[in-house]
Amino acid sequence: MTNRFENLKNIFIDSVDKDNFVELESATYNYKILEESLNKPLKMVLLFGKPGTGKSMLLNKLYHNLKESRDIFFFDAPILSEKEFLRRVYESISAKDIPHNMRVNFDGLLRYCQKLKGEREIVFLLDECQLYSETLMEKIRLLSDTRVVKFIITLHKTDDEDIIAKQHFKTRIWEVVELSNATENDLHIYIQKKMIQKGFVEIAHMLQKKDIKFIHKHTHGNFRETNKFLYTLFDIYEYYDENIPHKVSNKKFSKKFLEMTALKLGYING
Amino acid sequence: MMKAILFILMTTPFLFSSNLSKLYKLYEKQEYLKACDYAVKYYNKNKNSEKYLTLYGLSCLETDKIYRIATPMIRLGKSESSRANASYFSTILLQKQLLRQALFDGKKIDDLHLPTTNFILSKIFNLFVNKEYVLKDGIYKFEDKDNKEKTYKLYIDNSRKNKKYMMIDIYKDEKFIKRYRYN
Amino acid sequence: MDNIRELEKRWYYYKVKKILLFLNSFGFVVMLGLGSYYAFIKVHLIENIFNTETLLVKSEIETPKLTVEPVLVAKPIENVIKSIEPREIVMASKNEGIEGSVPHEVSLEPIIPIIDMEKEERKSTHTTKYRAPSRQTAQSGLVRAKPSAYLTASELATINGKSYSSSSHSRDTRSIKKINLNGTSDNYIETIKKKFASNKQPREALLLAKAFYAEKNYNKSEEWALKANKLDSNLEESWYLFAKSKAKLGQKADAIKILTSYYKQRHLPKAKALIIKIKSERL
Repeated sequence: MTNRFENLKNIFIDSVDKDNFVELESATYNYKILEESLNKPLKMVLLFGKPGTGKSMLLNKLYHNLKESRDIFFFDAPILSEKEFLRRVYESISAKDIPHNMRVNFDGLLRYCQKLKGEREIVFLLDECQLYSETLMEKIRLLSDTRVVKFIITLHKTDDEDIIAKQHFKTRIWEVVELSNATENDLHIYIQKKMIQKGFVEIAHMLQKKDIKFIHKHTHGNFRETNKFLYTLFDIYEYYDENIPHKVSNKKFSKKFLEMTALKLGYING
Repeated sequence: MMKAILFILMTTPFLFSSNLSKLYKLYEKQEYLKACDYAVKYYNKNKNSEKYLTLYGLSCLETDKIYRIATPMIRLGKSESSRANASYFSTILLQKQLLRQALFDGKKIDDLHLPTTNFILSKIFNLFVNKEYVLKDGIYKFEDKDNKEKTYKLYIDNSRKNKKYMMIDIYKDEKFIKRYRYN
Repeated sequence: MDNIRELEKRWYYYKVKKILLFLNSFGFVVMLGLGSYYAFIKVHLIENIFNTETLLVKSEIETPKLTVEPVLVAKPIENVIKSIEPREIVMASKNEGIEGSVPHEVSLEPIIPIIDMEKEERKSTHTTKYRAPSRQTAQSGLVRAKPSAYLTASELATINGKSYSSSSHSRDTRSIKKINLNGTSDNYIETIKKKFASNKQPREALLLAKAFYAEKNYNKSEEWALKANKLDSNLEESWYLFAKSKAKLGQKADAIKILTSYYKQRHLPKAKALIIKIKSERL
């Protein structure tokens, strides 16, 4: 029998599994905007935010919700080779496999797309676009100009990339959706829902505002960091539960364990 | 370092221990010189206490170092009673100065009317001003009308080099009981 | 897991550091508070002294008003009082400016503070065995410092003929020749007798009466008290001494009679007290 804390901690393993998506007001709101933007005559949508704010999760959810009803393709990992990228794009659109020794010609692809005008509306979800080269980004822009292909791209928000985003894409019609870290309230709901989803209702209710405050103080509401925090926390709980069970309280979270977690993750200098 | 801070924190309340009760005790025991010295020593800590200042003045009044009453005298004044006490002290001090001038320099202070006090200096001053004395061999002798058994002598003591003292000797039933030596 | 143990140690260390930091900051704040308080008091004091100094300076300027020149030197005291110009009376009269009026005698007395001994004792860290007897306490712990009894214990001891330990006294006996400390009662009586013979003052007679009374020579004390009284019937002490001597000689009725008639004249409480004392044989 596995320790309950072992199961708990596994909830917080970082993943973009759509089943792990937590309905938060802010997330839902952003999702809706994204969905609606697909209906607008936009060529590109920029999903923008710090690492760990849920961009990939959102794209994933979008893809899985719309894949049956739309022409939508999700590149969850960036394809850094231009050759490979074009091939993938063509294969997705044409639903044909191209032999590896054949190269896709960009002009050819462009003409191919233009021919599909009025017939199809294809959406590409591109994650981690900050890794794409400038020439590739240009090609993506040109493809979007055909009005046959739409791109939703994600970018990590850093100060530099802020500037790049503006310069590169300011001439295009853009929708920008910015994701930010969760508020304390959102974080509280996020953690609780995650636990409740997997059946840990009691522990979810043990969580108090001051615990959330502590976690939020250190993780700043970043989902990835929060997941890591809780994973570590329950890892510690697992140890004590197995070896010194009297130190584990069933009524509230231990400040000591929270502080130990923060120490381990380097939030506090010990 | 922490220990030092904790120690200081623990002991600071005790720095404000009551000098007033100690001073009062000395005054009650009539150990006026001790009380006066004590009052001077802890003056800085207690200079805002009207009671302390009053006892300071009253103690030093009974000593030879009567000039010390000036210090509390100038600070007393926050209440009606402390103002009255300040006037009391300043009157006695003024009388002492004038008497000394009269004695040392022959300054005429006849017919001078200052407020009276029950302090010995004031009594002698009033008797002197009213010329109710017998002068013999440089010693002024006074009789106390209110206490018939008491007599006083006022004279200059030149026995020390370069220092003159105004001496007041008090007799009860012709027995010497107290001396004040003022410079 | 060793890691967890290690982590726990780190956590203890972190906690201790946190507490120390808190105490440090608290201590710093307290010191800062105390420092500002002291600084404020000093500033306040400096301001006060400054104000007082200006007051003192002002009063110095005004002292020339204090004219010490006599108005009339040769005339006896009673006339002098009447003819003093009001402006030359300094600090004495409430009726300044009214020409020819008798100067009003101003009398000053010290106002002795009431001290809450319990409160002061609580403040004090030094516990002493001496506890001042509380007088006139409305609430417990409040004492009124009595006015100076004027004669200290050592002085009283001198009067009573015991040893006298004042240092100032011992310092001065050598230098001043004119003070006669060692007098026997015989010498004393003779001295006073001589004085009386020369000046016939009732005061001298009274002193003699007292001396004899002290020696338990009640006949003589009665005689001299009577003499003093004949010279000055207003001499209160002479009445008392006369009555007391009579009482001591066994003539209590006479003593009471005399005192009663004196009391009827003067209504003095001391007379009454003496009557009661004689009656109750507590003399």
